Amino acid sequence: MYSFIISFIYYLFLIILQFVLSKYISFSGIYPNFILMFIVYNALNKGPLKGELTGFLYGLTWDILSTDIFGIRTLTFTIAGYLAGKFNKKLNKNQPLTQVIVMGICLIVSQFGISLIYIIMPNDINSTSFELTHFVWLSVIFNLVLTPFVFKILSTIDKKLNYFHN
Amino acid sequence: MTFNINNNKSHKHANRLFWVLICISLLMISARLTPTIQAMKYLAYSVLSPTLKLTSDSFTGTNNLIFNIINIIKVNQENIKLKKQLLDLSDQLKDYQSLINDNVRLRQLLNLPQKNHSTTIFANVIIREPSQWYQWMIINKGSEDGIKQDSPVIAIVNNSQYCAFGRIVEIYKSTSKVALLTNSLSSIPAQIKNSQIDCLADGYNSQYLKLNYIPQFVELNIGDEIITSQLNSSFDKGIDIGKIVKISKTNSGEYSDVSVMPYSQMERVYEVVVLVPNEEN
Repeated sequence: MYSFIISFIYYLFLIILQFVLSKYISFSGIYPNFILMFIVYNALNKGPLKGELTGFLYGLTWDILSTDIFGIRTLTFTIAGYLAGKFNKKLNKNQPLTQVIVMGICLIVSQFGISLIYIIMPNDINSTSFELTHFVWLSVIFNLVLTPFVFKILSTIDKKLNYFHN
Repeated sequence: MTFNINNNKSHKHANRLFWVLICISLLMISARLTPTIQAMKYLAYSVLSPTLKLTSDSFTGTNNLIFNIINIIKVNQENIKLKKQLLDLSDQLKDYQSLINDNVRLRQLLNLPQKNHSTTIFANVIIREPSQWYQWMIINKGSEDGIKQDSPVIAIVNNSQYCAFGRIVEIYKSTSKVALLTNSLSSIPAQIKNSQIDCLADGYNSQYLKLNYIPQFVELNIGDEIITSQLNSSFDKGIDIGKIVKISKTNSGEYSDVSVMPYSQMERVYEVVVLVPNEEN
């Protein structure tokens, strides 16, 4: 019950952070992908099962709120969560470099997955719109730079919550 | 040993669940346009949107409070200035009213259709997702406020300038989704200001619009203003769209390649106006 309440609070907080606060602090569409960071963090710390479930839930929420192809982010975030979860016991997840590399892989996989679906489904949207523009790269770099800080904050919150729970 | 067995079991479960989730996602993608999936999406959206709307409204409220305090200080000075302007404008309004009357009378004489009139609905932006900054956003007005499908949406920039921004694509009870002009789904008839050149402004998910069908012989300059054309079925004629920022003419091909920076992308947009056509139109 305790973990369910915590997950629900995380969920609400992240959705608000990603979708509501972004309009005040983003710069021309460059804003951290906090949801993907959380999926990767969860997957790295708790394994592929939790990773893919988190990816699926947050991806589905993103799809519900967007006008994009329905299911596109559910698919890519589930894959990202599963992939990140596979590194769970193989790497030192507390090292910033590890976190950046895994986050980088997940960002590229999700971006590539989205582009691929748009190419496969040209009837929905003009496929030329999904070229990897400098904005995409800037956004990837921005996300990677922020990853260790966000992971540090999440790990501190996790430690505090575990302390209170025990 | 026990740990390894448990670990392997957990990985097996994860692998199986992964394929199940992938299948569900693919099913959602392939059946996204079916009424069942659309209804489920609508239902889920109706559950999620009140929380987001409430949060957004409370942030807007806090922001407004700060702005209001600053504004009160400026109001007195502005009031004096505006009173002077009001006197000038009331004279202009008299002239304008007589021109409208003349216009209506002449249209009746020529049997031309009357101009479209629409109801204006002011709305606040509640969600604009950064990674899809140029595609869509959600506003805090929906079907219960009178919003209708495909209604044009106009942005308010520089406090008072109005410019074309997008159109309503999905309507819910108290919120609506707006596809922006820069969305690759958007395409509106446009015109180069002070000329009779009609063209098509297409979005392509970037901060710019592409102007299509401008013959190469037409002389264009950087900074030329683009407005909505009278060929437009949703926007009225003469609404600002943006400025030309790039012109390239190729040796082959008969049309110029022109990029336009929309006014609505030059600064943040928090408030919009939805023009809902009146029933009799």
